[in-house]
Amino acid sequence: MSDLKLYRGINNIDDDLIEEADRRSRPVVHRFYAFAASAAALLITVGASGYFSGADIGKKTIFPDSGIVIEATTASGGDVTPVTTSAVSGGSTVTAAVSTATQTVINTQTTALQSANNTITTALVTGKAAITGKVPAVTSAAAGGRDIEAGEPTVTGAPAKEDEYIIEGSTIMKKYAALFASLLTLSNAAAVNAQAGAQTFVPKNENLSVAMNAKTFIERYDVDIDFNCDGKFDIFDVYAYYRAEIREADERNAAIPRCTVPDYIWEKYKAIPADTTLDYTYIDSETGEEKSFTEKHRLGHDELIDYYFEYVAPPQPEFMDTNFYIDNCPDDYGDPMSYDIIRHDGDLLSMWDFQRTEFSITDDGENYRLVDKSVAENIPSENRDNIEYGLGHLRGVRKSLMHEFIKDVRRHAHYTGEDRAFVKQFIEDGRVDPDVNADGTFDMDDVGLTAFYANLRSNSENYTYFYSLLYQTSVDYYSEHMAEINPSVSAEDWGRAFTLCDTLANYCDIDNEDIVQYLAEYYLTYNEADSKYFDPMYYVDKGYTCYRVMHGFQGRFFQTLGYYENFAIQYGPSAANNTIAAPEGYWFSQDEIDAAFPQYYKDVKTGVLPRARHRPQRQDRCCGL
Amino acid sequence: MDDASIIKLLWERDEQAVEELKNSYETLCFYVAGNILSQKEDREECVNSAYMDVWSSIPPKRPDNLKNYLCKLVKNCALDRQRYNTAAKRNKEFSVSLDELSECVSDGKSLEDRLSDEQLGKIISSFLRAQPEKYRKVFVRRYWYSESIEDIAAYFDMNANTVATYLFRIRKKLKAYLQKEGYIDE
Repeated sequence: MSDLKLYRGINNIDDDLIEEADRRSRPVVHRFYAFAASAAALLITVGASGYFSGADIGKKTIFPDSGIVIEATTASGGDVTPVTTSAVSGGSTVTAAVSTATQTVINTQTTALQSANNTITTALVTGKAAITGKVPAVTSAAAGGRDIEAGEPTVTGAPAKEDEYIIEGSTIMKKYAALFASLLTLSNAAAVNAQAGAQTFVPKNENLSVAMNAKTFIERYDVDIDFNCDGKFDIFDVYAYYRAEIREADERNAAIPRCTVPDYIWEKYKAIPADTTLDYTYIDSETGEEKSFTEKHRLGHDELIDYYFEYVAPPQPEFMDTNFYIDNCPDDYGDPMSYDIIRHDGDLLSMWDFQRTEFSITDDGENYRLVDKSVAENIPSENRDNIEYGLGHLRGVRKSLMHEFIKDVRRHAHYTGEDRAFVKQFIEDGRVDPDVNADGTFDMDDVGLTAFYANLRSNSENYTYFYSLLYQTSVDYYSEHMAEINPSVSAEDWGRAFTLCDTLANYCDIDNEDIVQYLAEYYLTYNEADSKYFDPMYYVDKGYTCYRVMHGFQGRFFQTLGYYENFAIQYGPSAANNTIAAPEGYWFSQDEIDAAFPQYYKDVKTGVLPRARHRPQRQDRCCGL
Repeated sequence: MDDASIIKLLWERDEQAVEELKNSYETLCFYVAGNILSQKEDREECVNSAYMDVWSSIPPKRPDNLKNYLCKLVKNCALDRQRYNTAAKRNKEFSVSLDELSECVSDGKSLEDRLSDEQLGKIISSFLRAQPEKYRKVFVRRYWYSESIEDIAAYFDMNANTVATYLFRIRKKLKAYLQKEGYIDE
């Protein structure tokens, strides 16, 4: 059984690969739908209190497109606000008590779709200005101009037939799916953690434990870390250590040396004790406690990077720039290719140029040139989705060790969380332009457009470098290509999105979807955002995303708008004005949501729930891919 | 007790070592075996067999990573048991992952017989090192830990479809790699 033989082979892979897979390396946003039942009531109140700018209290936007779920009634007078909620199935009850600083009354009736029995109580206190304006006795509206029929439901008493469900269900399902998913994403705002007040977003530093290990080792063995003997420990010492590791690996494997290492570096490197046993300490990610373990250890350059970032200096953008090493590195490693072919023009290095300059090739063993279209065309088609692998099998191709080192530095800089600061820095000093739609301001519309771009690109990421070789004018290629398949966005807009993401990608070890997250978080930290920007239907109407049953909204940003709303509440400019306490939420899976639909459908058909008013729908698009 | 101490006890032929192994890794061992075998009795047999193998092989061996060494023994035993079991007793999820891997050596071909499991392990390790980290990790959790796609997605906080896509791509690459390097017999 060859398959079992392969499995046995996999069973014998190296230990470090197994250990690596045991680590959840990078922080990511929750991508599944989650819904705190209590969040409905909570968000109604957040909305009703006029938290977000542009909110119209008298005709308050509550939830988007909610053909089902929520009716809110605001009225004045009284001290205590009972909020009653009835569930579609399972007979669950959600009760929330709401009060404001001026004892304004908010009566809220919430009908929440819920598939399990549970009772949740929510308490929300807001320090925002009181709601004193006179409001209609009964108001019901939905975001983005999508109204809900709030009138008395027509009770027919006749349950829906199965065929009716099949035929009409698709219409309602489309409506329902979009609005409910948007409800869920919105609801994340409360489900995550709403212990607001003035908070500052602090990215998690994932390097700390490794840096502590390196520190323990260096101190225990009194390692002289000034490897290049210039009297100081800086990034070039880490680079020297990396080069020495390469030389050692080549010697051990009897391979052709990929570089030379000056003797003064080599001697210091060889003086470091290898394979020592040491007690290490680390921070338990779950408990936060400091723990210890004993392990054989050989100091690695990646640990040294963490050590440098943790104990010497934080990462700097120039560490990710080849020109910085070409111009400033004091040591010569005998790279055979001329650095002139690697050097880039302009202030910032784009990822495109970084990748384009990573491989060089020689025909005579002496003169190197960058790998270009003529070389790329020799890569067999089956290897074109793994360019590095494909090029590695071509004669005379050489991979730049400088690039390899920068990739490691970039990854470890990301783990410190400091790369967010690069984005802020680049935007504020004008080195990148986030105004992707060129309307003169950077706002959530630009983030949404960038998210649209990121979602499209994510499906072809493996081909980026290959195409860069075939189409040297990178921006032109992508902008024209994407404008062809998505004519709703101009080639110029695509070009700006490309340039923005491609530049930031070189300085942050993240993909385009993560770049969108950084941009959104940056914007929301310093700007108030209208509530429409947290409604996925807003972006559907713009054509940036669409909803697919069982898959949700296309694109991570559009799936996780609740996260961003929560981020705005917690870390935005008005965070200090709000104190929100919410219980732990009840989380719905997509399966639960889909399972609940038949009941919802019946309730709409029998008039238990109001039917969503039909309105012209923008045709669902599948984002061009 | 840490691994070094357990190994020390094993070298001293102190039976307390097996108890310490159980204390440290029994849950993990049952998890690994459970990803391959559906029957509780089978899992217990494999885990106990692995303890015995550890006792027998250390000394002379002195593994760098006792946890992985033990898990590999559990997995080897579980693989044997899986093959022996009737279809009804097999873990269906594991069978699916085996089917996936068979794509890598499809078209009536097979991996070279002369390759030992250890050699093949080195070849696959080399291949994995050339892959992006995220692909590598997903691959190892699927085919080393034998986890379901849904579990992997939850573990890395990813979309299950994305995990499946990563696995599809990396299997395709592995197949190309094995063919190109001549490890697949015609």
